[in-house]
Amino acid sequence: MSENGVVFKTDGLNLWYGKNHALKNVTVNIEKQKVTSIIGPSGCGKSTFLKVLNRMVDQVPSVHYSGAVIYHGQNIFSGNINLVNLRTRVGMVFQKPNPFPKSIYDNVAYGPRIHGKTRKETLDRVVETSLKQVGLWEEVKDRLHESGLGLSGGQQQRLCLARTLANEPEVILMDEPTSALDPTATLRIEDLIRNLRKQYHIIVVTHNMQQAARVSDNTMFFLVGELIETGDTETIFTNPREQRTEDYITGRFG
Amino acid sequence: MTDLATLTRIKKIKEKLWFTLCAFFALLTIAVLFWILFDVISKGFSSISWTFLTDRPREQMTAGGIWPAIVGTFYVASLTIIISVPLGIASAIYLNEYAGKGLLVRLIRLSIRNLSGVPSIVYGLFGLGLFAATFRLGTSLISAALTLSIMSLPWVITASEEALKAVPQSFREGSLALGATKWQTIRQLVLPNAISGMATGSILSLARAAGETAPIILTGAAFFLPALPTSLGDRFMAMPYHLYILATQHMSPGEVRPLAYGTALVLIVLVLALNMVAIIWRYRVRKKQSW
Amino acid sequence: MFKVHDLIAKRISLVVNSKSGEHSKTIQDQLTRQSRSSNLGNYLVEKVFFLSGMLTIIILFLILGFLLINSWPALQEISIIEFLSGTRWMPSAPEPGFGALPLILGSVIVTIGALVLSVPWSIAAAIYIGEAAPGKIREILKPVIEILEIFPSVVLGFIALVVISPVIANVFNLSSGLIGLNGAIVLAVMTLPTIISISEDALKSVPQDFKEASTALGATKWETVRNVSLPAASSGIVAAIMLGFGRAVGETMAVLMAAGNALDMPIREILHIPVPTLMQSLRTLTATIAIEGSDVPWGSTHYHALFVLGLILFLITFAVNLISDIMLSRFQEVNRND
Repeated sequence: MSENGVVFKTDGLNLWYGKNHALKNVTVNIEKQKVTSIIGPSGCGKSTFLKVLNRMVDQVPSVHYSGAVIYHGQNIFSGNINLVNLRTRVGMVFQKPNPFPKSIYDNVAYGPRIHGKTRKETLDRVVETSLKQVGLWEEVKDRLHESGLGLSGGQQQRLCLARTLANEPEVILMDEPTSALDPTATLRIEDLIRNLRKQYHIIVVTHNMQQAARVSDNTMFFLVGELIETGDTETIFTNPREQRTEDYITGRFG
Repeated sequence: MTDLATLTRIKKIKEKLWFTLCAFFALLTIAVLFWILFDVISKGFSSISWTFLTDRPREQMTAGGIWPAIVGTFYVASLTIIISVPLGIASAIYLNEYAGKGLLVRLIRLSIRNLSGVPSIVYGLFGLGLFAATFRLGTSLISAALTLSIMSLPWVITASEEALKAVPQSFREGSLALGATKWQTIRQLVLPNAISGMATGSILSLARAAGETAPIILTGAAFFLPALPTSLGDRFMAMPYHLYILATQHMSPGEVRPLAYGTALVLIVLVLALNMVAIIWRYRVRKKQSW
Repeated sequence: MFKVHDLIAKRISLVVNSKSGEHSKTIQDQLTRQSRSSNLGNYLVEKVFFLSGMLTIIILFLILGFLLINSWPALQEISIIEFLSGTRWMPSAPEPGFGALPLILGSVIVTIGALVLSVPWSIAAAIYIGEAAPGKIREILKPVIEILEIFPSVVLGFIALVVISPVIANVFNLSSGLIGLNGAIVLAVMTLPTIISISEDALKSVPQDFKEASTALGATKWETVRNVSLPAASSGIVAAIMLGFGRAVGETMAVLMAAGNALDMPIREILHIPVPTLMQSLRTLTATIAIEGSDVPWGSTHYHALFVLGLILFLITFAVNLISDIMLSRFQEVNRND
C-alpha cells in the first residue's frame, strides 16, 4: 500500500479510559477510496477506535491517549488541530439514529448552517443533493418541514447519513449503523455504503460478520483492544493469517 | 400446630394495627392541608370583592382593599425573576455543559445545596447589610429584589439543570460530530429544547418569591404607603408582609381579621395558581416530546 | 457521478486558488488553522459561563464573610461568652443586655418539639405511602405534600395564631395560646413535606432483594418494614430528620406569629430542676432578627449584635446541611453497590 493510497495512518495508538487500557498499540494504514470494516467481539475497542478518528472520543472525561493518528500529513492529536475542520471532513453516523428534533430540512441543513452557509438557494440545493444521495428525496420531498423524528428507523438513519453528507466530508465513519434497524432497512443502508464508496472513504464498525463480508473491501479485526489482523476482506474471511481471527470468524467465540 | 396458627394470627393483627397507625398519620396529613384550606377559604371568601382587590387600604386598614400589596408583590417578584433567571440558567449551563467532574464542580454543587438551606431571615439580614446599607440602595424594591434573587438562585439553577439534563446526550454528540462548537450546539440544539423546562422552573421560583416575607421585612417592605412605588428605590407594600402586620401589629386585630383572611386567601390562590400553571405546562411539554 | 466531479474540482480549486473566493491553502493548513476570532469568541463564552457557575460559591463565601465582618464589632464589645450564656436580651435598653441564651434555647426547644411531633408522623406516613397505600390515595398524598411544601409560611403562622392558639389556651387553661407548643405544632406541619419525601425515597431505595429475602423467610410485610427496610434506610431517614431540623430552626414567620416572642428563658423549674418547656411564650433567633432588624439603627451595637445572631443561625444550618449531605451520599453509595 503506497502512502498516497492511505487516508488514515495510526502509529502506536494507545488509549485508556481511566485505568482501562482500551486500545493497545494500534498501528495500521486505512486505504483511500475503500470501505474498511472493523469487526470483533463486544468490548474489543472497535467503536473506540472509530471515535478516535474524529476525536469524538474526547467527550469521555476519563480518556487519555498516546501515539499518532496521521490524516493529511497531520497528527490529529496535536494541540493545534482545528476540531471543527476535522469533524467536517470526517463525518460520523451513530448506531442509534439520532435525528435532531427539527424538520427534515433543518436536520440536513444543520451542518452547512453552522458553517456559515445561510443563503436559501445554497441550502435548498445542499438538502436536495444530500437527500438524493441517500435515496430519501422522493420519499420526503413533499414533507421537508415535518419533524425528522416522525420517520421510520431506517429513514431516520438515512436522514442522519444525509445530514453528514451535507457537510461534504471526505471520510464517513459508521458505528454499527444498522444494528438498530430491521433487515430491509439494513440492506438499503448496505446498498448505500457500496454506492457511496466511489466518493468517500468509508469505515464501518459492525458486529455482524456477514455484513462485513458483504459490504467491505478491507477488514480490521480487533480483540480486547489489540488489532489482531487487517487485510482485504476476502482473505480475512477465507484464509486468515491468525488463529484468533479464524476462531472469531468461525464463531468459536464472540 | 395450634401454636403456629395463633402466632401467625397475632402477627397479622399486629401488622394490621401498625399499618392502620401509619395510614392514620398519612391521612392526617391530608386532613391538615384540607382543614387549613377550608379555614382560609371559608373565612376569607367573604372579604373578596372587586373593591378588595383593586382599592387601596382605607381608614387605618379596616376597610378598602389590598391593591398596593398585590402590585408590590408583583413588582418585587418580577424583578426577582428578571435578575435571578438569567444568572441561574447561565450557572446551570456551566454545570451541565461545560464543567467536568472535578473538585470544583462538587464544591459548586455543595454550595448550591447549602445556600438552599440558609434561613430566609439570614438572607434578609445579608440583604439589609449589603444592598441596603453598604451599597446604599436603602430599603427599597431593588434591595428586596436582589435579596430575593440570591435566595432564589439555588432553585432556579436546580430546575434549569434538570431541564438541560432532559435533553438527550445523543443530540449533542450528533451536533459535535458535524463540526459544531460546544456553544453552537448549546445555542442551536440544547437551549431551544430545554427552554420550556426552564420556564416552568422560573414560574415555580416566582411563586416562592411571591410568598416570602422574611427577606423583604428588612429590605424594603412597608406597611402603608400612600402611593404605589414608581422607581426601584421606592419602598413597597407586599401581600405576605401585609398579612403579617394585619395579624400581629394592627391596633385592633380583631377588626381587621376578615381582611387578613382575605389577604391570606389571595396569596394562597396566587401561589397555588402559579404552581398549577407550571405543573400543567410541564406535563404538556413532556407529552409533546417525541424523543 | 456529479458529486465525484465536484470533489475533484474542489480539490483542484484548493490548490490553484480559483475564483471561489477561498484563499489558496492546503488542506493541512485548514486542518490546523485556528480561526482567531471564533476561538476568542468560544473562549469568552466559556469564561462567562464559568463565572456564572462560580456564582454560588462566591455568594456563599460572601454571606459568611459579611456575617463575620458585621458581627465582629459586637463581638469585640461584648464577649462571645455573654452572647452564648447571658440570659438577658435587651439590646436597646439603657443598660443593654446581649445574652442570647433565651433565644438560642427558644430556637432549639421549639425545633426539637416540632421534630418530636413530626418525625414519627412523617415516618409513619412515608411507610404508608411506600408500602401500604392504595394507588388512589397515593395519588392524592403526593400533591398534598407538594402543596404543603410551597405553602407560604406567613399563612401557616396566621392559622396558628388565630385558630390553634385559642384551642391551646382552652385546653391548657392559659390566658394566651401563643406559646412554644403552638410554634412547635406549626413547625411540625412545615417539616412534614421534607421529612416525608426524603424518608420515602430512602425506603424506596432499599434493595428489593432484601425485602424479598425477608418475605421468603416468612416475615409479614410489617415485619419486613420494621426489621429490614427501616434499618436499611436509617441513614437516609436520619438525613431527612436533620434537613427537617435545619428547615425548622431557620423558619421565621410561622414561629414569629405563633410562639409569643417573650424574652424569658424557656425554662421551668420542676422540683428545683430547670427543665425546658414549651408551655410558655418563647422567642427564637429568627424571630428576633425579624422583629428588631427593621428598625435597628444601622451601624449601632444592636445592629451588629443581630449579625451575631445571624452568624449563629448560619453556622447551625450550615453544619446540619453538611452532615445530612454526608449521610445521604453515604446512604446512596451503600445502596448503589448492590
